[in-house]
Amino acid sequence: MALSSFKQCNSAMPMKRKVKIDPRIILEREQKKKKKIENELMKLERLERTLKPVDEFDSQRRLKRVASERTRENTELTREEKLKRFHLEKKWCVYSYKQYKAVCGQINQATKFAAEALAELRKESEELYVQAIQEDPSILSYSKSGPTETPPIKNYQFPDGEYNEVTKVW
Amino acid sequence: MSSSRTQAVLAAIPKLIKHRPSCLVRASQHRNYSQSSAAKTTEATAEKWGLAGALYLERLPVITPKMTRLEQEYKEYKLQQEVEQSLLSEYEITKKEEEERLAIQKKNVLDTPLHLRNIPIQTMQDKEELWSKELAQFTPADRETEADKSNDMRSTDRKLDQSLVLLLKQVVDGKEWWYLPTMNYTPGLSMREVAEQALTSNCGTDLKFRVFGNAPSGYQIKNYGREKREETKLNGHKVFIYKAEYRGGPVIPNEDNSVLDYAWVTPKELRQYLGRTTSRVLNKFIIY
Repeated sequence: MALSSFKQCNSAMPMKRKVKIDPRIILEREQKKKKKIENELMKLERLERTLKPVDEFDSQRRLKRVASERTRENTELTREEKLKRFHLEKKWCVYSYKQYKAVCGQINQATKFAAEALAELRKESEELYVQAIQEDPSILSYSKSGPTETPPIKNYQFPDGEYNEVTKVW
Repeated sequence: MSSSRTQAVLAAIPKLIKHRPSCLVRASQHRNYSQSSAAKTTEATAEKWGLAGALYLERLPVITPKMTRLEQEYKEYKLQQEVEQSLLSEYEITKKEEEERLAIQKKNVLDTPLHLRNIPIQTMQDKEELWSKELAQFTPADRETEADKSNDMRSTDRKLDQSLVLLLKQVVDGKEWWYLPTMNYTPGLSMREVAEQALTSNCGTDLKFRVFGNAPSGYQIKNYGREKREETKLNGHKVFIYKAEYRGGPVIPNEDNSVLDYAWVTPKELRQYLGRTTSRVLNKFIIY
């Protein structure tokens, strides 16, 4: 009887000895864990700040939700109107193509003529030709704003803009 | 090459036809009108040309050209289509809501408490009226100017939707003729400087302009008549034309250089002033 109880007592695995770790090392380990977590947080934040490429953008989720509320009530087009629009598109296609061709032709003619002029100049004098083919860097700084609907008014008095008075009053 | 051909042709002419000896001499020379390059170079080097530079000073258009009927119709159609295919904007939604609110308020005047009645809400309608009033206070300048009506050829205010070219009336060899500002080439200058001086010497130094690049935009060959050819020993002169943009400033014709008059002319009116050949040459580098 004493033997069996002795045996039961000894069924557990031998216990490990408790190793006393330096408290400094424990502190270091915890600090390392903290740092790791902080670094990961910083990386996530950096990703948030970098912008998505435009191609990946989906339309704003809010607008998708709201689009159904914002549909315009359009009257159905009459058959005549549809035919008229169809013919307009066709005419416009032809017109704009002709316009484009005309402009291209003019530009080609002008460049060809300029080249001819250079050749004629070369026939006359090599020195003048060399001076003519020099680069003119001032062309690069050229800028022009296009023509407007109406011409500028002579001696126009510009109206004052709106502003908030912030002068202190004592 | 072609000399043998001419000789063959000559040989074929029956000998009964009497030619003057000078005729035959000329025929046997290398004087032919074929396209052989060898003959051309000899001819070219024999010719001498005077050089001149001219400036094509262009006042670019100030206003847009009038739309054609097709362009007008297409523009209206496209604007209409854009509105039809769009969603309602914030402005339109608030406007709709306000209208509904006003309608309800009008219906339920008695239901609203006293302190909330007759509060002037600045509705979108009022705002729109304010804005249209503000717009009405501004009157843009006329597209057709006084110079258009009086047909003043000397002003740059004429025909604002087209470009204008400066032409000078000069006395050359006793005759008056209209042409671009020109100056004969003086050695020591580049062609571009010649063209620029052509303008400043003939029209005063107050003119502001800008030449594009050192290379000419075009050229014109003018052949002299027999008298002048003998006088100057030149076949004619070549004018190299430089394109420039007019930036401002008055044109003061220099009477010392026999400049009598000046005019700002549209490319379509060039033909009246310059004649067929010159206007054809200039049309090559005009871009309408």
